[in-house]
Amino acid sequence: MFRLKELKKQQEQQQQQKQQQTTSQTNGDASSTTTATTEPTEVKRQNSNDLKEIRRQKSKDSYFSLKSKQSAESSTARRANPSELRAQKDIDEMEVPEGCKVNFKDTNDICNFTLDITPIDGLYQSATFRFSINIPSTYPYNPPKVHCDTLVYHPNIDFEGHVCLNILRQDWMPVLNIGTVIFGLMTLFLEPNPDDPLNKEAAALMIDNKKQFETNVKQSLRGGYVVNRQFPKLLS
Amino acid sequence: MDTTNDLPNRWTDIGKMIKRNGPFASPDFVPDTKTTPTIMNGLQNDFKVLVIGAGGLGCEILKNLALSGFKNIDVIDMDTIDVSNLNRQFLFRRKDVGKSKAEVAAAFINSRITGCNVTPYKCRIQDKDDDYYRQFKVVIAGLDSIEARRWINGQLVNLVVCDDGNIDPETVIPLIDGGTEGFKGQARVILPKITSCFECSIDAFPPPTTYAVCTIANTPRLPEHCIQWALMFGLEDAKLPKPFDPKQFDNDNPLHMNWVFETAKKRAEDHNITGVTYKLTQGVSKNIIPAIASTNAIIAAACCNEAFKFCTDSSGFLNNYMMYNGLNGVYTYTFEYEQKEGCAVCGTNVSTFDISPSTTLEVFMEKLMEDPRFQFKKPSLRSNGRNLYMQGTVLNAATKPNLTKTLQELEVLDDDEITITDPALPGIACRIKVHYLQDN
Amino acid sequence: MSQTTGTDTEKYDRQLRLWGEEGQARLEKSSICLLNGTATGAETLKNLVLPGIGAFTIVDNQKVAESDLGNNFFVERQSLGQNRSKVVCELLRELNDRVKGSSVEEDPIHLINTNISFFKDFNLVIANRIPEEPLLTLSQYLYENNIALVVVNSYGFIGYLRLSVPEHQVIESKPDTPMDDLRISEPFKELEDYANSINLESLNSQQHSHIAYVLLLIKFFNAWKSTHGGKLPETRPEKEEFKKFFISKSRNYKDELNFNEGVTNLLKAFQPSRVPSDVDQILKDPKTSELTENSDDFWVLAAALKSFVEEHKKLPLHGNVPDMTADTLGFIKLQNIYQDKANEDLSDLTGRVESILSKIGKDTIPQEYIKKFCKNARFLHLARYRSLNEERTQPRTQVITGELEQPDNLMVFYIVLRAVDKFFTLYNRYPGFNDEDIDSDQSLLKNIVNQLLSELQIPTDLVKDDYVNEFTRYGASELHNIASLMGGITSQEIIKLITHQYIPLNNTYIFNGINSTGANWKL
Repeated sequence: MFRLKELKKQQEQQQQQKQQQTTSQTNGDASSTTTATTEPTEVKRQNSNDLKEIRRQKSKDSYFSLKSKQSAESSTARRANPSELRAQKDIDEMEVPEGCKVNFKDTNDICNFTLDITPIDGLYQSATFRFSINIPSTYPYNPPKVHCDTLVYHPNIDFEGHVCLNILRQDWMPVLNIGTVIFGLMTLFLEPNPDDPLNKEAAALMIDNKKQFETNVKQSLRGGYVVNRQFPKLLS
Repeated sequence: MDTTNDLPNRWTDIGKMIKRNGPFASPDFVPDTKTTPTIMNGLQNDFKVLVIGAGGLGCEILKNLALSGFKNIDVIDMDTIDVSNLNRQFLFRRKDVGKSKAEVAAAFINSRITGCNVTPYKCRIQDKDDDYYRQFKVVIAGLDSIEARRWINGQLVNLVVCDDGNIDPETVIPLIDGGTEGFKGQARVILPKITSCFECSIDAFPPPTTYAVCTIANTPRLPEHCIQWALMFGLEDAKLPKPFDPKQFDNDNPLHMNWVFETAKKRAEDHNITGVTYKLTQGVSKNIIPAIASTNAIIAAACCNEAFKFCTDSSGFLNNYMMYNGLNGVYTYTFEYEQKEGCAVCGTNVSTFDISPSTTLEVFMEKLMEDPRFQFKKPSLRSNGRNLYMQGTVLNAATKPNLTKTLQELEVLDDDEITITDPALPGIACRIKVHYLQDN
Repeated sequence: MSQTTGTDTEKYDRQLRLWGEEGQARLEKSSICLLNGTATGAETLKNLVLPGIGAFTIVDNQKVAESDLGNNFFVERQSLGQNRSKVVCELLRELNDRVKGSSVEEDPIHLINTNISFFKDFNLVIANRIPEEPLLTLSQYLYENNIALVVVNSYGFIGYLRLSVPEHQVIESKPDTPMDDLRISEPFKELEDYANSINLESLNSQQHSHIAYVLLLIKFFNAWKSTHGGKLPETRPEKEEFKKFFISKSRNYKDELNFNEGVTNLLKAFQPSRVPSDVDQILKDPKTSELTENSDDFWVLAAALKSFVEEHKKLPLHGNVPDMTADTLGFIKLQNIYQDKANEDLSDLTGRVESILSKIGKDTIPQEYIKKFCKNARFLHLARYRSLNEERTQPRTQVITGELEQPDNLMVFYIVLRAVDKFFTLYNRYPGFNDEDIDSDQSLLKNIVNQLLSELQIPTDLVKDDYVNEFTRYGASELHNIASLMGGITSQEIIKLITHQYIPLNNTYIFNGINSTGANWKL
């Protein structure tokens, strides 16, 4: 409590100094009044209910309120939480790379959206792949959760939609953001990495028989039947 | 009837700190006298303290507060008692397994420390509103999740009334936060808006252990990889039979946990990996942290010591972070954790903005950009879980139509906060509290 | 329920993850004595009863007073007037039905002075609020009988803890960040052979990027040695050059995690394995040469280890391989190679142990113990504590003065606490205990402080009056928060002493509750 009183004293002193400056400017005669109180500092103990009332009054700046009947839940829910704030900033200020499009089903739910990636180069060129992205309430301490909703033949994405990208797991740091994640996902299509594979067979094929691998990819993108699986038609 | 009145010597020890001045007491300290027992009155009658969590730290905190003279204590915890709690959560016995932690803890303290009045709440901290939190003098948290800490931190920071840089001290409720893990722990004092807050340090928290998906899927080497495999891939693999609905997976259910263990073990055997035990399986699945009574005692006591000093001014204070490590000798390190510039929670000032509810969003934004208090260049606005106007390419088209709507039409209510992000801002965001003027 | 030790594995799960069933077994065999059932004492015992020590005994002749109700959790309203040791004992036992507790309604001082052999069967004695003279008598006796003494006091906002035991052996010191034992710069034969057997050029990109960095480094160290006169890089520029050379061998450095790991661990890899100084001290200790049939197993093993190191110039291999980027098969194979070598070293050590045992005519030592010693050879820790008597008769004045000269030091509290004890000895009460004595006690205490400092030949201005006045203000009050905090710290150190795991404080700790700081010294 001492520290709070200190703060209040500091603020009061600053206020008084400001006032003194302005009065001395107008009066031209600065009389220095001590800001320290001379009466014994009384430790004012207020009943906790009084305090509660004081605090409540202070936080309501106006008595003209449209929300007089607001419920307990909604009052705290209406406040932006830090993970939302951070998500808001990330999404609004990121540079969306060419070929990527972010979609909000509910434009107000800033923590859940889909990402459509249409690589402009490489083996997967011109096909569009959809990812579901969820920003957890512990963001940015924990990374965004990413799931690939499009069935794809790719060494780093399995057929259940798991994506192997280091910054989504062991290399995530709070200084990274949603933009970095999107960029990382795009890179997977431009430069698939067979050395750390999620889809073992695709990766092995990419190393042992690149031509066959490329054929498989092309066929899958055209809606073909590859490795005993029916792929969606993404290209004509 | 308050029976403690007939025990005049009960609080002799605390009494000495409260009735006698000393060289290290706060400069504002006015010792109690027989005729003006102001501080004692405060402790026993006026002050209400909130304890969050009735587990390892919570039990200790309740005991410490009760024996520091506090009478009016609330405790919130939605958990129930488990056998593995009994090695340190000393207010619980075997017969209490399954019951509410908050309720059993409160009952024990009230019975052991006569006159103490602990009120339990078996609910989430998010279920309580601003008015509830405003009644407390101090909040002490013994939580084990980042999410909960973040929430209470944000809640208390939001209660601080800050008019254009001037903080009203009466709205500052300290949050004393303790955490422990094995032989290590930390205690910190957060004065919302004055000192660093929990969010300021969130980046510094050690990241949780995660393994690469491809390692788990294809190149396992450790028993932990096999356990994670069972959790990540095994559960959703329809080809693997399970004696339960995978969508209802509950890591507290021994049947489910046993399935994870057996599945992980099989995978390990297939790869010649040793070391999968039931204990490790539990540890990985539930992210179990080792815990003992002694570390909890140390951290809880440090926290309550600060609460006592804060409420009585009888001595100095912790400024503001103490770390404890008992692995090698006894190591305590105390330092001042500085506020993070632009912290999403405490670094964002809330400024009031007078406006008429019938103003359109477009005009409102024009006025915002003209206001010299802020230096907005390309502000994006969001309020009440809804995007008002976003400058960036992602949501610009969807929010453009809002420009011609009035604030009232956009369901922005009086006293609502609008969070504004702007690449030009030094911090994450700026918060404007809308203050409606009466329409003429 | 544990099959092997019978302990309650479900209840104790969270603590077993720290000290295992073996540590728990030691706890459950221990017997601890507490002198004075004060708040501090009770809180210390609470944190020992909960994790399951074997037994405790409280010695106290005080009756539960009103003031106890204001700071002690283990007394109740209805126990006013009853013997405090009995009451505290009952309420502590209630915490854990597996723990035996008993109370002795006697004045601890009287017990120390008339029947000190009472203490001979305890593993450890906790002394709280015991005046200087009987404390020193107790300390002498316990030290001579190899029983640990723990002194803990809470005084106003200050807490004090002192441990003392003649010799404390730790095998499992469990350091927070133990160094790996990978022998990269001096690989043993099997490891080197394995590394050499790998033909990097023949591998495809996936295989190439999954060769453990350990093997890569060994291979390229060899390549370097062959063009540098058989020597590893020694100077800084040489090491830099090697780093570049190593990176150049990667096919795709950006993606090859194993090469990245090699670079990260390069500096560590250059270091040859050394015997840590702590361990070296143990090996050089005279007890390794003066073995008899009554020697501790620890010293027999230390002697065997000494002979091992004399021959092999290294400690036994640890055997663990930390996780690193590698394919499963390769990693398991690597693990097996290290494990096999560690087992080989263990057999070697065991042979030496057996030969020593037969020489001195001592019974066998369980293989599990030898294995534990062997695996923890790099982490052995031995502490010899100064007794309290030594602390008085041969004070470490340099340490004390050095600390007192620092700004904001906590040594001032140590000095004043010593003076407070002296005050009690002289006047049979604590300074400032009574309101009316505060002023006069302040000057009396000040005189004693000055006298103490003079005896230590320390300038008296190093302890300011403020501290004397603060202690007089405290008037021997015991605040629950400080009692609980010290109870936590003390119990934790006691657990370390009993389990012989982790490293205990050596030997003094002071907690300053005014600003929540702490300090420790060896006094």
